[in-house]
This record gives sequence, C-alpha cells and structure tokens, in this order.
Amino acid sequence: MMKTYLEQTLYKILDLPADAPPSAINDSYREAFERYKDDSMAAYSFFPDSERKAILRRLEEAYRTLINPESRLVYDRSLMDMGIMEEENRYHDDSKRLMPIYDIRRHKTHYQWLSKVPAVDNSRVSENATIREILQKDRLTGQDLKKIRTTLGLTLAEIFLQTRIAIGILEAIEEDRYDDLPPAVYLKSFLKLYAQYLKIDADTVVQAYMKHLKGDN
Amino acid sequence: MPQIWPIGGGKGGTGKSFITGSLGILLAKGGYQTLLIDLDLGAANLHTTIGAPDPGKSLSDFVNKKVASLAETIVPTPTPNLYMISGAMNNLDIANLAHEQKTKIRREIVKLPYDYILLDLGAGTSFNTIDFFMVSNSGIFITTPEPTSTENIYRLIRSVYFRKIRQVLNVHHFKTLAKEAEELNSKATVTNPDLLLAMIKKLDPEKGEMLEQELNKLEFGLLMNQHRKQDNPNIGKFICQIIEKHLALKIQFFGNIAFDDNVHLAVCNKRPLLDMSPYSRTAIDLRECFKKLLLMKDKSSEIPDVVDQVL
Repeated sequence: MMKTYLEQTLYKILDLPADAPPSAINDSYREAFERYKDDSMAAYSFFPDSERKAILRRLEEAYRTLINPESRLVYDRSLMDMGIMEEENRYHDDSKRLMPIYDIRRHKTHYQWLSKVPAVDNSRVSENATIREILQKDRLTGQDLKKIRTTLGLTLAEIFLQTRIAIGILEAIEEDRYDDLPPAVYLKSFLKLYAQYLKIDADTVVQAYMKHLKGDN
Repeated sequence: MPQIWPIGGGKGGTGKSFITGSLGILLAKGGYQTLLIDLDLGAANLHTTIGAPDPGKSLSDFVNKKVASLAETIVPTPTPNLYMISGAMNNLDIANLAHEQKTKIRREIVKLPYDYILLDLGAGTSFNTIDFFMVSNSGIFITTPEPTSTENIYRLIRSVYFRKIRQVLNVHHFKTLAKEAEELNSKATVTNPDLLLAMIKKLDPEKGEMLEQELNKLEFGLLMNQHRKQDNPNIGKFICQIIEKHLALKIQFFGNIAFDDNVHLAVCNKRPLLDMSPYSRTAIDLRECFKKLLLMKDKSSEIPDVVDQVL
C-alpha cells in the first residue's frame, strides 16, 4: 500500500488540485508535515520509521518542486506528456499583471452612497404652514411627527441612513407603540437627532413628545 | 431494523463505557427507543455510567440458558426510552465466549425491536471484540491523545477492517481469487487492502467491483476522548487522514471530547454526567459529536447478510 501512496503524483501526495496557488501548496505541505513528523502522535506506530521517513522525503520533494515556478513548469510538462494533466488545468498567476496606478478600481462603500441623501432645506421647514402649525402645539404625538416628515417628503429609510436610528424604532415612535420604545434616555437623544435632521427645533420636539408620552400613560 | 453501533477502543480506560452510556442517554432523550448492550465481558460497568442500579439480570442468563431469549435479559434504566442488557456477572467462564455462543447472541441482537442498539465492547483486539464489530457496517472507535492509545486504535481498526475483508472474501467465494492475487503480487494480502483490491479488479473486474462496494458500505467514525486544552486538536483529524490515505478506508472524525474532572465526579456519584453537569465542557462536546453521529448515513441499518457465516 505504501508503494501506491508514494507512486502518486506530487499533487496527489499533497492533496492539491493541479491549479493550486503557492499559498495552498504552503498550507498543504505544513499540514502533511504535521501528520508525519517525528513526534507526530497520529503517525505513531502506524508506519515503520523507514516508511514514515520515506513519506517525509517524498513530501519535501513535492513541496520543493511545486513551490518553485520553474521546476513546477518542468514537472507539469512531464505530467502533460504522460497525458495526466491538461494545459488549461495549469496554475496561472494572475496577481502579477501590469496595471496603471491611476486605474485602481476603488470599491464603493455604501457610506459614500450615504452622503447622497440630500440634507433638508432650512427654508422649506420655516416657510411651511402645516409644519409651523404642528410645532405650535403643546404636545406632539407620533402622528404629528409623521406628518412633518411626510410633508417634507422624506422616507424612514433616508432618516435611518443619516441618523442611524433603527427603522423599527422610528416606526414605533411614529405609531405611538409605547411598548416598543427604547428607555427614555435613548428615546430623548433619538428624538433630538431626528429633529436636528428635519431642521426643526430639537428641544421643542423632545419636550412636547415626552409630555405627550407622560400624559398618555 | 435497528441501527447498530458497535463502540470500541484499543486501550482500556479511554472512556468506551462512558461514551456508550452518554450517547445512549442522548438517543433516548431524542425519543429513540435505545438499547445498550454491555459486551465488555469480564469488565462490565456500563450500568454504572448511566446510573442504573444492579440489574439482577445479565447476558450470562442467556448464555447459561437460564432464559430462552436475549429479550428476557433486557432491563429498563432510570432514563425513559433507554434499556440495557448488563454484562455484569460473576461467572468466571463467561468472559471468554465460545464461537457458537457469540453467533447465538449476534443472531438475537439484530432481531430486537429497537431504533438504536449500542454495543459497548471491551478493549483490545480479542475475538470477543472483533466478532461483534461484524454485526454492523458501522463502527465507532474511541481513542485518547496519547501514544499508547493511538497505537492500539490503529491495531483495532486494522483488525476490524481486515476481518471485514476476509468476511466478504469468504462469503462470496473470493478466497481463491484472493490467493491468485497474492500469487500475482506478493504484497497483495489483506494487510494491503488497496493493492489487494486493485489486483482482484485486474483478475476479475466484476468481483473486484463487488468487494469495493461492500467495503464502501462501511461507516467508521472516530472520537477523541479526554482531550485536554494543551493537546493538539488536530490529532483525531490526522489519524483519520492517515487511515484514509494508507488503508483506503473512509473514517469520519466526530470531534474532540474535553477532559473534565466532572466526569470523575459523576462516575463516583454513579450518576450520568449529562444529568449531573449538563453544561460542563464534556457534556457540550458530547452533544456536538452526537449531532454529527446522527447524520451518519443509514447504511448501518443494513445488517451484513453474513452474520451467520462469519468465519
């Protein structure tokens, strides 16, 4: 059985496909070496020492041949001559192609896309009669806040992208679902952020909404 | 048809009974009708690991013909769905079963109406152990990360595997074929299974195919017990890779089971670890391995049709 194992191709010995990159050859050799090295518990008593050493020598030969591009090419050619390997299965190193410095494609993250959400125009808020009317009120309900938002033509998603307040919480505020609201400390700072983004007076909104909450409960 | 899992280990004290008991409890809690059979004759203590009291009945009653069928020696355990045949007995002669007695036991085992039957086998490669591995296509091997233990687990796996090959060869009148193969290439004996297979295939492709199919049915698994934090966690994986590469035998590694003083404590209290410290590292590892074991393909329910004819 030993003979058949040692007779395998260098790729088989290291458990590698023909197009394995050098990093895979490194990893594979390291693991195989761990398996058969002198004080390996897994190999203990399975082989006579001479057999184990023969395996180690063969592994090293495989590693040395495949890790060097020149000797690997020679070995691949010999396999191709024997008809064991096809030209298209060979490993081709794509990482070293020439590339103009200014053409490196940057990966666009969604943060860049984020900045495209428009800021709210200050004048639109102060000149809008409906919004002014709502803000006159002593208490602000979730409904009122929603009305301000829809008047400005904003979606919850846009507010989330700018303020990072979870959409679920925004919904809970607008729908007055008291059980789903966060603790008061967080709620206040969320409201503040929300108001700041809509360019309305933050203190008024926080006070009026908290008043509405207390009055209801 | 029950699924039969023979559980063995090369060396004594690796935790065969403990793991058999724990897997039995996990199966029973999963709703499977489960039977544990203590076949570690002469050193039986499976009942202690599952917290069962002295059963009163045992396998020896069947062997000594006190009862007519093996089913009559089954006793319930404190865990619902879990039953047991104890091997605890005081007869001196019973530790070495005669061949006919083993055949009789094997024939009865496969007829018992359970979902899972776990066989707790004795340490080493005695005939008692190897013969009971022949009941099923699956086998679970327990080892520990110590050279003494890996040495013996290789010995055991080889013995079981070679016995299987012999069994297949005998049953299908392969014997002459195997002899021819050996004449063709002196190394092609049962100790070199992949070479033997190649030679037989050359001589008689049809029968070679058959032998290969039979051997492919085997579902072996390895558990690394008593794994301490400082031990190399890859030893079990490496053992399986070496067996696969050099014996042409597929064996799955089911995982490491942590060494834990809680196990000692549980055994001393005669209570199952899974009940006493269900969140200990060992208990968590056991449940992880158990999940993988359940996925083991259903091949083990296929009882080899050669049970009566083994050697």
